[in-house]
Amino acid sequence: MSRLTMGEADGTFEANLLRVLRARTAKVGHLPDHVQEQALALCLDALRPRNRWPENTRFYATIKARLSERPLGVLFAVAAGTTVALYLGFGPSVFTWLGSLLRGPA
Amino acid sequence: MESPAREAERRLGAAVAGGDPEAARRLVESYLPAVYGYVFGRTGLGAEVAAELAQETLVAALGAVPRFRGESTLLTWLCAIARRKVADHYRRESRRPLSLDEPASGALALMDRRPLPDEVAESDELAAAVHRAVWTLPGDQREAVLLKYIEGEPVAAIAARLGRSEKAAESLLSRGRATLRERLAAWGRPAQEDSDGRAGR
Repeated sequence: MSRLTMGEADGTFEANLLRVLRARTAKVGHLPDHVQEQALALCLDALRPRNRWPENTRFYATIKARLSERPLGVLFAVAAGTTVALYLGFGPSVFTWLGSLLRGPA
Repeated sequence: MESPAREAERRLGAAVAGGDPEAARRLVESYLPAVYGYVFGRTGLGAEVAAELAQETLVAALGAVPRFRGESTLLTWLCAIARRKVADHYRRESRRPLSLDEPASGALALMDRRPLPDEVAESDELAAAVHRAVWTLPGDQREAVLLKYIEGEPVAAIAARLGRSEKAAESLLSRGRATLRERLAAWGRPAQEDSDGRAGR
C-alpha cells in the first residue's frame, strides 16, 4: 500500500491539514488605523480620473495656474478675447444688438 | 427576490464603480478589517504582509467592481480576489532563491499518521510550509483545496463554484491532496537526502 493511500484511508493527513490551515482563524488581531487610512488613500487615488479631457491638457493647466496668480488679468484677457471674437465673427452690428438686449424693451 | 442587504451591497458596488469617493470610503471602512482577518487567519502570513495584501485586494476590487453583479455577498467576492492576491504573493516568494536556513522540517509531522498536537499545528515553521504548499498548488486544485479546507465548503458547493461536476471536484481535491503530500514530504527531507526536493516547492 502506498504512503498516500494509507494517509487517505485513515484521514489523518486531511485532519492534520485542516488543523494547520485553520490554526490561526480565531487569532485575528485589530487592524491598525494607519493601514485603513493608507488603504483609503490608495483607493481614492485609484478612483481619481486619469487622462480625462480637459484636466490633463497643458492649456487647462496654464489657465488654472494663471487664474490663481492673476485672476483680474485673466478675466480682462478673456473679456478682450471674447469682444474681438464677436467683432470678427458678427461684425459691428453684434454690439448694437447686444446693447439693445441689455437695455431691455423700450 | 434580492434581499435588502444584497441590494445595498450591489448599490455600493455600483457607486464605487461610478467613482464615488464616499462609497469607496464606506467600502474600505466596512470591508478592509474583514478582508484583513480573512488573509491573516487563513494564509499563514504575518500581520504586516496580510495587511498589505488586504489593501491590494481592495484596490484591485475598485477596478473589478463594475463586474460585481451581486450574485454572492460582497465579502465573498472580495475574499475570492484576496485568494488570488495571496496565491500571487506565494508565487512571487517561490521564485526567490531559497535559503538553506529556511525552516521546513516541521512539515514532516504531516506525513506522520498521528494527529497533530495543537502546539505543533500552530507552529510557524509547520504553518509556513503547509501554507506555501497549498497556495502554490496549480489553479483549480488550489481553489478546490482552499474552498474545502479553508472555507469549509462541501463538495457540491465547490463543484458549483468551479463550474464542474461533483465527481470532477472530488478528483481535483484528490489530486490536490496527492500534490500536497508529495510537496510536504519533499520539504521534510533533509537537504543531503534529496537535493531535488526543494525544487518542487
